[in-house]
Order: sequence, then structure tokens, then C-alpha cells
Amino acid sequence: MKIRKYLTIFNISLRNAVYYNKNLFGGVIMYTLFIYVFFRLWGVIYSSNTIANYTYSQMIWYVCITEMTSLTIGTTTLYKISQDIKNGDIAYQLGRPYNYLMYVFSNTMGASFVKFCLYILTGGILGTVLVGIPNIESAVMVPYFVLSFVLSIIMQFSMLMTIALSAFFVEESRPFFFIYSKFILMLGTFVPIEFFPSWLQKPLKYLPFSLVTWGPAKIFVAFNISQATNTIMMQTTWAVVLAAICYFVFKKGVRNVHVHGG
Amino acid sequence: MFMYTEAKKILRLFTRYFKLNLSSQMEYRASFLVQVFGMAINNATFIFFWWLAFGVAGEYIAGYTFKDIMFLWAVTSSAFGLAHILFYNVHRISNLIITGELDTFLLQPVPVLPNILGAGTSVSAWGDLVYGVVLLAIVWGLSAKVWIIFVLAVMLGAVIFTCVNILAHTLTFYIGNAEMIASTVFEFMISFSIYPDKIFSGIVRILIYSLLPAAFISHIPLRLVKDFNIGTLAIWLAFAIGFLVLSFVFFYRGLRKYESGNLIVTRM
Repeated sequence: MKIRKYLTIFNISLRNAVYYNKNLFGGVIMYTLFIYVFFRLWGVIYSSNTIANYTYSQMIWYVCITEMTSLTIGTTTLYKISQDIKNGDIAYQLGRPYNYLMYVFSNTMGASFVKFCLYILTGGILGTVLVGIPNIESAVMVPYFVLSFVLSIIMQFSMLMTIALSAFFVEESRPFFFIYSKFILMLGTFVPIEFFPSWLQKPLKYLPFSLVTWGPAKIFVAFNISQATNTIMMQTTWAVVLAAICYFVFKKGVRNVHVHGG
Repeated sequence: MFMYTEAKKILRLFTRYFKLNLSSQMEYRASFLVQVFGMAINNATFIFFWWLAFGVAGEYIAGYTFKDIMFLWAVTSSAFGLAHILFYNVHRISNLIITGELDTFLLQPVPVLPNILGAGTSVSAWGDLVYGVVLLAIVWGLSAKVWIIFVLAVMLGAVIFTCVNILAHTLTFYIGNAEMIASTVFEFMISFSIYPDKIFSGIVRILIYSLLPAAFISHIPLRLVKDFNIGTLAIWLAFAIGFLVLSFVFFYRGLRKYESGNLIVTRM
């Protein structure tokens, strides 16, 4: 597999995101609004010093990280793929000299990288202004956080791509995107898993929907080496499983494509 | 007499558009139902968030109970739904101005702004409308007072949502493409109407009672449900009517600055 062509695709997508930056700024405004609303809301709720072992400052940093993780990849690019499948445009792309899944991955990552840079900058400024510098006890946290974040992006890409590819089999894939995004929001983005009833916490720590946001955010705000190792192992397993499912759905779906020339 | 004839004409136009839009959606019945139920489930997930938040906070958050928050959600969701069923095309105003497609609407023998507003609909908005009604029925029961205020709130809320969009998009006449401003303003409106108003302070609190009138969508109706006051009702009605007049005046003043292009468009 020639990696150079995928790096070129990544590069083009990155440049496109920088040049056509209207959507990027829209995203930053939404991110800021979200953090502000939750800063105020948790400010009212936090009458006591800690809730479920999270201080107010940790809670705000937690939301800054989870929201950044889920917004970095977004659903727009991948939703377009399901549209391409529906209207038949995918046939043109399948005939080109690249691996289609790798093409979509490189293309998505280029734009996501720009978004990541913007969100980490905005989140860093917002978190520091609102609740002060995060309390990082050990520098060992940094590589764990970076790895967990990268795995989270791969997991999200695989899940979203599988949903987009479901358009090969169902008439309308939009509700699946809705439901997916709500799972991500509810099971870890808005509130940490530790806020859930105890009977729900254990299964949630193993679910991909919560691992993508809660995983890196928990490592960032309350680092614990054994828990972080456990989280990364779970994320790695899911990343492999989800990528395999995505590949399988793609292979099966492509068989449904009929090209009639034109 | 002139006002009455104009109002009747506009009402007839909206009724025609509504029937036409609905029948075109019904062509794809399965897709319609999937999108409606998808949106209702989408909204319902937020009940879970508030259940968790009240679980850690206790009975009140900024003076609001769980039931109160559900009222905010029911009104906002249904008002948003009604606005997007009837006037979804409001989101295209900037685009119509920039591309020159506005010419088509200017040539037709009906009032321009109502003609633009009614010319499009959103399928998933039915899900928002129905969700609000079902949520209110489940959480608040069948009290006549609550339902009268709810129905009024949904209608006025739909008007306010639409007028805020008209005002924001009209800026395109003055400063160029204001699409992003409009979508940001609209997102702010939605976000501020589904959270307790007391969590906001300072400039934001002033904004939600003035330029971004989220308080007039959901918070004031809730205040009326809990403690009815004829003065508050009068202020609410006056504000909605005032906002409606302001948005129309602003649009028609802006329209004077519009320069037509040579674009030829066919409306099918």
C-alpha cells in the first residue's frame, strides 16, 4: 500500500479546511457556547465541593475535553458518504486507484486535524479563563492522553463510517446518525460515567460510545495509571473490532453497487 | 379594511403552501415517518441528561424542578417544530439575496416576505412538534390552564423564532452574507431557551430578555403557568407582536438595498 497518496489526500483535505474556514469558525462558536452553558449550569449544581469525586474545576475541564473529542471528527463529512451511496456518486470513487476506505479516512483526518488544533486552543483558553490551569500531577499522563485520544478518533471514524455505509442496505441512514450522536453525548460527553447510577457504571465503562469521550477526558482530569492502561486496552480492542466491522460492511455493500456506464 | 384583506391573503397563501408541502412529503411516507420518530427519540435523550443532573443536584436547579425543565423543553421543541413546518424557508433568505433568486419572489403577485417564509418545510420538524405535545401530556397532565398557555406559547414561540431569523438574515442586505451570524444567533436562542434562565447573569441575562429573546419562548410561559399574572401576559403578547413588526419593517427597509442579478430561475 502506497502511503504517499494518502498523505497527499490528507494534505489536500487539510488545506481545504483552512481555506474554506467558515464552518470551522461556526464550530468554534458552538463549542464556546456549549462550554459557557455548562460552566454556568455546573456552577449552580456544584454547591458542595465535589460530586462523584469530581471537583468543579475538573468537571469544566472534563467537558472541554469530551466536547473537543466529539466535535473533532463531526458527522458532516461521513453523512455525505451516505448521500453519495444513495445518489450513486460512489461508483465514480470506487473506480479510482486507491483503497476507498483509506481515502475517506485520510480525507476525514485532514479536516479533523485542523478542527482539533482549533478546539484544543479554544478549549485551553476557555478552561483556563473559567476555572484556572488544570491540575496535572504527573507528566506521564500526556502520552496516555494522546494515545487514548487517537484511539477515540479511530473508534469514532469506524462507527460513523459503518453508519454511512449502512446506506447500501437501508433507504434513510440519517436517524442512525442522530441516535449515534445522542449516544455519544449522553454516555460520557455531558456527564462523566461516575455520575450514573452504580448499576449502569460498570457496563458503560466497556461500551465504545462512552469510551470515546469519557476515556481520554478521565485520563486528563484524574490520571490513574492502572485505570488509564485499562481504558487504552479497551479502546484498542474496540478500535480493531469496529474497524473490522466497517471493512466487512463495506465489502458486503460494494457488492450491491451496479454501474450502468454513463 | 386594507389590513384585513392583506391578512386574509397571507393566511390563504400559508394554507396553500402548507397543503402543498405536506402532500409532497407524503410522497415518501416511510422516509417521513423515520425522520419524525428519529427526531422525537433524538429530543427524548435529553430527559436522561436532566434525570442525571437532578440526581446529583437534588430537587432544584436554579429554582427549577425537573417538571419545570420538561415544560421548557416541551414549549421550545413544539415552537421550533411549528416554526420549521410553516416557515422553514426563513433559513434561505441570505442565500436568496446573494444568489439573486429573490427576483422570483419579487415578481409574484403576493407579499414578498410571507411568500419566502412559506415556500419550504422541514420533515423532521413534525417530530419536534409532536415530541413537545407528548412530553407535556406525560409530565404535566391535562390541566386546562397549562394547555392554554402551552398552545399560546407554541404559536408565539414559532413567531419569535422566525422573526429572530428574519432579523439576522436581513443583515445580508447591509453587510453581505450573514448566514453564519443567523445560524449562530439561532443556536444561541435554542440553547438559552432549554436551560433555567437564572443560571445566566449579566449581559447574557439582558440579551435573553431583549435581542435574543429566549426568555419569551419558554421562561415567561412557565412563569405564567406557575403564577398567572395578567401584566406578564400583556408584556409577553406585546413583545411578540412588537418583534414581528420590527422584523418585517427591517426586512422591507433592507429590501430597498437589493440589487437584482440576471439569474433565471424556475420554481417547480
